[in-house]
Amino acid sequence: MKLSWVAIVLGLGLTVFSCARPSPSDNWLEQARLLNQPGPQTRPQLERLLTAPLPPAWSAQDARWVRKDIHFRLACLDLDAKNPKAALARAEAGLALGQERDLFTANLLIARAQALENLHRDLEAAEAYHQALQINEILLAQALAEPRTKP
Amino acid sequence: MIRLCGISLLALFLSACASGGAQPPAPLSVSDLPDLERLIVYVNSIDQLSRQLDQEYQAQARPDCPKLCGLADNICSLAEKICLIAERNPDILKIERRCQDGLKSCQKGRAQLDPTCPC
Repeated sequence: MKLSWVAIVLGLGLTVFSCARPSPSDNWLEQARLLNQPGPQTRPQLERLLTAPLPPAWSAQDARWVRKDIHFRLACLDLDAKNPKAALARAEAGLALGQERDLFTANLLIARAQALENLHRDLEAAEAYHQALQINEILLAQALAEPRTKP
Repeated sequence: MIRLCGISLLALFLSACASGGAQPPAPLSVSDLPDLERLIVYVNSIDQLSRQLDQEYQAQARPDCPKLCGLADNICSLAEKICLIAERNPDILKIERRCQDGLKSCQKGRAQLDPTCPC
């Protein structure tokens, strides 16, 4: 009898303790919410997100998309700050995660193209823009083949 | 008895589908056929009706125009960017070819959307 009470109290204590600890999802959501208010903290927050532990429920694909998007946003900040070399490095880092036929890759290619254009590497810039264009073409074909919405 | 009930249900389903706006199926005269063949005829009729309904649904459904227009706009603006680079570099034929390819893709994308989405 005494033992079962101890077990109940311990169980309750553990439950309360585990609920009180912020989960990785909470951290991610909170940081993502803060990023919607761009300011001087945006860059360090984005950089922190790149190394933060991912919510355990996320698939590897979801994690890759989010990280590619973060690299793209960092590249945009570098472009805004007139730092095309840093933007190019950011875009390359994002593309190194995998070049798929999705908007995240297209965005990174556009950031790469803009950085190359600013560095006067026009031929490479045109190639990167063209690769992004081809991805958009594929996405358009896929969207046209999708089932339509109800009237 | 169970088989009779099944066939009655099929017949009921067929008549219900026929009253839903689809082309009514030709009257079936299958009373002389063996049961299995009769069942096949009914199942084929259901398949045909189902296809007709799908086609009517697709014809009435709307495409996701904002998404389609957004993608078509992306293609055209990227083509524009390539062509601006080509203008700056008239001696580099590869960029000019990319520009022409891009313009074709832009026109094709717009043409694909024209009948359904006025972007």
